[in-house]
Amino acid sequence: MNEIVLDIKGLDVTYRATHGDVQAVRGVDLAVRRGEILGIAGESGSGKSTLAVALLRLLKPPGHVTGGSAMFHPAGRSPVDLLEVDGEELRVLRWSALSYLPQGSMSSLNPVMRVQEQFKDVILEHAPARKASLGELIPRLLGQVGLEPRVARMYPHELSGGMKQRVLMAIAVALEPDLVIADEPTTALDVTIQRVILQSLADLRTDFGVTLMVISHDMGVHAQLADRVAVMYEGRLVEVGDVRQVFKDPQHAYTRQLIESIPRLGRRRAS
Amino acid sequence: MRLLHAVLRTIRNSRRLATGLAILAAMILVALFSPLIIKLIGGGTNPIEVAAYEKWLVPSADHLLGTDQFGRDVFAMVISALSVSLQIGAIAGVISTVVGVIVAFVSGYKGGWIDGVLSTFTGVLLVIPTFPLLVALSAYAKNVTLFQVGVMISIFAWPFAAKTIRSQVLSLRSRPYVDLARVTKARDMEIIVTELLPNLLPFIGVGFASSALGAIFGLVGLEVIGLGPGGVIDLGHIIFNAINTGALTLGAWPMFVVPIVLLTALFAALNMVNIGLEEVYNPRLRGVAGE
Amino acid sequence: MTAEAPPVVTVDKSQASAPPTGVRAWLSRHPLAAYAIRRFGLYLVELWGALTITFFFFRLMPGDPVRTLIQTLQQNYIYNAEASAELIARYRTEFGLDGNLFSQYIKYMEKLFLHGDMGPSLINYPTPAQTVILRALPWTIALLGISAVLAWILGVIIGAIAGWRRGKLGSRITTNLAIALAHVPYFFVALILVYVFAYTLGMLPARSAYDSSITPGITPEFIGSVLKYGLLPGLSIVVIGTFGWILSTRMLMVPILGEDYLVYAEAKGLKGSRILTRYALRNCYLPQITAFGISLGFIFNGNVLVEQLFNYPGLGTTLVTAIQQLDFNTILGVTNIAIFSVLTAVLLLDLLLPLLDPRVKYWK
Repeated sequence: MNEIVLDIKGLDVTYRATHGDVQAVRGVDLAVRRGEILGIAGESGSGKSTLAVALLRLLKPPGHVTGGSAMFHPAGRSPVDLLEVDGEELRVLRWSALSYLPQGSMSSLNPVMRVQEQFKDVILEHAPARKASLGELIPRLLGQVGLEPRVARMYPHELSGGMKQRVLMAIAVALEPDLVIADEPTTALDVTIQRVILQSLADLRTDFGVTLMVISHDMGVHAQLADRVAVMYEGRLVEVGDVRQVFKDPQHAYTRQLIESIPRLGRRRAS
Repeated sequence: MRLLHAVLRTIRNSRRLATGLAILAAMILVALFSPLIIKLIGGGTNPIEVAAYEKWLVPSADHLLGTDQFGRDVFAMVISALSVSLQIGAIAGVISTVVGVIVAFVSGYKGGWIDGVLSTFTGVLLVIPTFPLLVALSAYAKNVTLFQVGVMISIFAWPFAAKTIRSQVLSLRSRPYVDLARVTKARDMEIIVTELLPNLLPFIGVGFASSALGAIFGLVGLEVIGLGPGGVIDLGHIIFNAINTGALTLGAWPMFVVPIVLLTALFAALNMVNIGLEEVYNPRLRGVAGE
Repeated sequence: MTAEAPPVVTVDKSQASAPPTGVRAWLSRHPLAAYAIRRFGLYLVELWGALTITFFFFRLMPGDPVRTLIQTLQQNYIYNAEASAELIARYRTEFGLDGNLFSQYIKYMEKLFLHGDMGPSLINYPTPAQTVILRALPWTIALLGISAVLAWILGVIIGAIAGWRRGKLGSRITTNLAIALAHVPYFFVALILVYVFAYTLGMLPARSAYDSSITPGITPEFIGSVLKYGLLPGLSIVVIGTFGWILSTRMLMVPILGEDYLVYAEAKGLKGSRILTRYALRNCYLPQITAFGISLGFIFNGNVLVEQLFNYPGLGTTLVTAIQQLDFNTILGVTNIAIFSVLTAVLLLDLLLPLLDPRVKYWK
C-alpha cells in the first residue's frame, strides 16, 4: 500500500473578490496512497472543500488555482497533472479514473431524470461497451449500497436523504475509478443512516480497492473510517498521519481542539 | 430622500436599466420641448399646419425630413407625434398600473375565491386575442382627446401590470414581516401601504413599462389599418399616411422610416427598463464578480 | 424528578382508515384525471366568459348594420313603406338583431353552440358567416401555426445556448439584439421586408397566398407556390417571435447555471452538449410550453395586420374587411374562432404538462 495514486505539491487556491483576494488553500503538500482511506479534517472555511473541488477541476470563478501541481497516477494510464490537463483529455479522465461523491443533501441528482438514467449516461459515456449489460449492472450497483432494484425507476424527489447519498455512492464507483473524492458524505443525515453510509464507504475500499479521500468536519467520521487523516486549518495543512496516532498524540494545537470537540459519553466538557 | 438614493443606486447597478432610462429620458425631453422645437423649425410659420410648405419635398437642409402630402414639415410632424405617443403611453401606463395594482393587491392579499375569480379574469384577458375588441372600441373614437385615447387603451393594457404584480404580492405575503405587522393588529390597508408597497415599487415599475409598451403597441396596430382615433396625430398615424399615400414610391422615405425607428427605439427602451429592473431584483440574473 | 407513567393514548382503529367511497374515491386514486377534469371545467368557464364579453362588446358598437343594408338596397330598388318595415323586421331577425340585448345574446349562444351557426355575413349575404370564416381558417392556421412553432423552437434553442454561454461575446450580442427587437410589431418587419424583397428586389411576391394561375391541389407546384407566397408574411412573424423566445428562455436558463446537478454532470465527464440538453434545458423549458399557448393570442393580434398587408386570405384579412363594412356576424365569428382556438391550445398544453414534468404534483 505504498504506491502513490495522487501526489499534491504546493497547491494554492485563491478567491478573487471585488474587495481583494482571499487565499483559500496555501501551499498544501499531500500524498494519497493507493487503496487507503484518507480523511481531510477541519472546520468550515479551513479550505478542505476548496481543496477537493480544485482537485476535481470543478472550481469556478471567482476561485482560481494559483499554484502547485497534483500528479495523478491512474492504473493503466500515463500519469497526468490534474491541475494542468484540459478539454477532452480531462473529460475522458473524469469518472472512469477520478470520481466525485457529493453531499446527499445537495441536489446533485438531475431532478428530471430517473435514477437509472443517471447511471446510464455516465456509464455509456465512458464505457459504451457495457451497454448490453446495463440491465444487470445497475441493480447490482444499487444492491451493493443496500438499495432495492426498484429504486432505479424512481425520480430523485422520491428518495430520502440517505437513499440519495447511497445512489450517489453507487454511481461514484460504477466505473471502478482509481480515486473517489467524497465531500461531507454524512453531513445532514440521521445518525443511524450515517452508520450505514460509513459502513458502505468502508466496504467500497474492501470490495473494490477504491482509494477514498473523505472530506469531513466531523472528527468522528475520520475516527471510524479513515486510515490516515490530514488536518487543515486556515488553508494550511497542519498535521498528517495515521489516524490512531493523530488521535492519541496530536502534534498541533488545533488538532487537539478538533479532537476534544467530539462529544463523548460520561465526560463533561472542559470549561 | 432615502427613496431617491435607493432609486439612484438601483439605476447604477444595471447598465441595461440605465440605458433604457436614458433613451426614455431623451425622448421625454424632446417631447417636453416639442413646442419650442417646432417653433424653431418653423421660424415664423407653423410647420405642421396644412400647406405650410410645398408638398412632397425631398429631404434637404431646409426640411431635414422633407414634407408630406399636405405640405407639412415631416421633422416637425414627427416631433409633435412623438410627444403625443409618449403622452398616450404615459397616461395608459399610469391608469393600467393603478388598476393593475389594485386588482393584484386585492387578489394576492385576500386570496381565496376572490383571488380565483380575479386571476382567472386577468388570465383570460391576457390570453385571448384582444385586437378585435380594440377595434370595436375604436368605433367610438372618431374624435376624442388625447387623454380619452389613453383611458381607452388602458382598458386593454392593465392585465399586463396586474399579472406581474400579483405574483410578487403572493410571494411577499408569506414573508415574516407581514405576519408581524398583522400581529400588531394593523388594519389590512395599513399593512398594504406600509409593508408591502415599498418592496413592490420595482415591480410596479415593471408593470408600468409593460402596460405602456402594450398600450402604444395596440394603438399603433389600430392606426396602421386606419382605425385609430382621430383628432390627434401620433407616430402610428404618420406611418398610416405613409403607407396610404405610397410615400415610399415617391421617395419620401423619412415619413415611413423615421416613425418606425422611433417606435422601435421606444419599445426597446421600455424593454430594457423591464429587463434591467428584473435583473436588479433577481440577482441570479446578473454577472458574477471576477467573471 | 420521579418518572410518571406517560399518558396512554388509545387509537380508535375503526374510524381511522375507512376508505372513501364513490366518485371521491376514484378521483383520489387518479389524481391526474381529477386535475384534467378540473382544468376542463375551468376551460368551459373561461370560454363562456370570453364569448359573452365579446358579444356584448360588439353589440355595443355604434352603427346599425341593417339600416345600412336597407339603404343600399333602397338605392337600387323602390319599396313602399309597408314592405320596407316588413323587410327591415325580417332582416333584423335574420341577423339576430331583434329583441332586447339579452334575448339577442341567448339566441346567439343557442345558435352558436347547438348549430355552429354564426348568422349570415353582411358582405356576402346570404352566405353564412361561418362559411366565410372556415374558408379563411386553414390559411391562418398554416401561416400562424408554422410561424409560431418555428419561432418557438428556434428561440428556445438559441436562448438556451445564449444563457449557457452567458458572458461570451456571441451570447451578449444576441441578448442585446433580442432586447432591442423582441417587441417590434410584426407589421413593421413586414413593411421592411416588402420594401426590400418585393418592391426593390422583386424576388418575392407581396400579395395573396399563392399564384392565382396555379390550380389548388396537392401538387408540388401548388405547394411550392404557397410556400413562396407565405415566406414574407411568415418571416415577419418568425424573426420577431424568435427574439422574444430567445430572451425568455435565456432568463430561465441563467438562474440554474449554478445548480448542483450541473456541477455533478460536469464532474461525471459528460459532453457539454449533453449537459446543455439533458440537464440544463430539460430543467427550464417547461414554463416555455405553457408560455407558448399564452402567446398565441398575442401572435394572432400581430398576424391580423400582417395578413392585411399581404392581402393573405386568412382570418386577419377577413376580420379587417368585416370591420370596415360593419359585418357584425363575421367580426364576432372571427373573434370567437380565435378565442376558441387560443383557449383550446392553452388547455391542451396544460393537460400535456403533467406528462412532461415528473416533479410537480397536480393534485392540489
